[in-house]
Amino acid sequence: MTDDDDLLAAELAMGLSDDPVLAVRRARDAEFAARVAWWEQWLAGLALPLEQASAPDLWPRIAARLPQNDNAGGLLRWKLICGGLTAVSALCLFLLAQRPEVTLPPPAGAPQVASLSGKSGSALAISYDSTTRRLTVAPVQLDPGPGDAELWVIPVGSSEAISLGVIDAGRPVTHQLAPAQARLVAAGATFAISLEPRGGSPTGHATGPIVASGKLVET
Amino acid sequence: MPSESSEPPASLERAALSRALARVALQDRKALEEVYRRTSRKLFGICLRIFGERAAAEDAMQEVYLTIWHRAGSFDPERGNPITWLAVLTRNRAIDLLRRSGRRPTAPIELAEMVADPAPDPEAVLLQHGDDARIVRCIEALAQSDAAIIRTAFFEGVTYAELAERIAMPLGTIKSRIRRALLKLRDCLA
Repeated sequence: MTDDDDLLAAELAMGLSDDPVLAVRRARDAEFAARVAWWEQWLAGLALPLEQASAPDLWPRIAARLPQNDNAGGLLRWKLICGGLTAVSALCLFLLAQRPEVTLPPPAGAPQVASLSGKSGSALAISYDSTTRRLTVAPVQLDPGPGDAELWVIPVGSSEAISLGVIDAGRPVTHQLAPAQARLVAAGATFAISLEPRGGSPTGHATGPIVASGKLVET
Repeated sequence: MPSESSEPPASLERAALSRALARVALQDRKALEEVYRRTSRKLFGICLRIFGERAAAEDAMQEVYLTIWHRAGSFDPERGNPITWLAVLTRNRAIDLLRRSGRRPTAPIELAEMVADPAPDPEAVLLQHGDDARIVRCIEALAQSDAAIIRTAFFEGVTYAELAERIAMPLGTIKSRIRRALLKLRDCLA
């Protein structure tokens, strides 16, 4: 690992750089990931001596907010969301059209949306329903060249990118996330798209460029 | 003559916390409560440092424990200390919230004023494990202004561009200055 690579690892751990390319590299380059973790662990030593003798008892408030069966939502919510977000309104119209089951249980939880873009002009819209764990990826402008486009998520409070797999660059597709994947996807998480060889990133080093990224927002 | 009672309390605490996190990963509410009881004073200290006032720190704490609820499965007890993992998660989550709240200090500050960030209570540092205290000593070994910049960057989650703006210094200058300090820090820690 060169000094320069080690500094990139430190910058990711510190948050001096919020370049999603680095987070994706962390996911794929084990040596780089180990250096980021090295820095994170040392830096945590700055935060730990701040222990307070008395902290308020927030447990009842936390317990009340743990996920339960949430039946709010439904078609009205979709309409409100779609009215409020012009950047993804085309996608929402598409999703409304795609939702023949709006009157059927179980009702949708609050959907979340992300608008992904990049310097090259690539653009995608993502919507996610945490109740059903269904993630819809709608490419607006995306050219994977000779390879495939791969979707990554950088969870909230993390600088680590985790692959959600190769996506279809030509049409909107809804993916059913596994529970372990769903735990990574929450408002504030960053999605990134990288260009990879066919079949997705081989193990090891970061290969293709990040062509689009964006944050998931609550609606 | 090793026996269970000869194990130092810190490693017992570490093992208990690792076990509780493993149960949180299985969505066990009681286990999250145990994690809360064992860690809230430490994590509240981090939130308080980042937000600077109790009400916002209390809100952040709730988000932190909800994040722990969702991400406990990604903690690997083979590879890390649970309290370190929780401190990293808390710091990153709190900074994420701070950035999104728009409450970040934006006023330009003089470099000289950046030493306002006080070094932690020496007694608290002494009570830490040797390894944790080392970062504090290594930071203190840097030039005072460099130490202040690193602390500010860490606790406020500012990027190079934001730091450059705040201390009215060209981006390239601040970047090479921090990078030099980071290399010194690495050599001290290695």
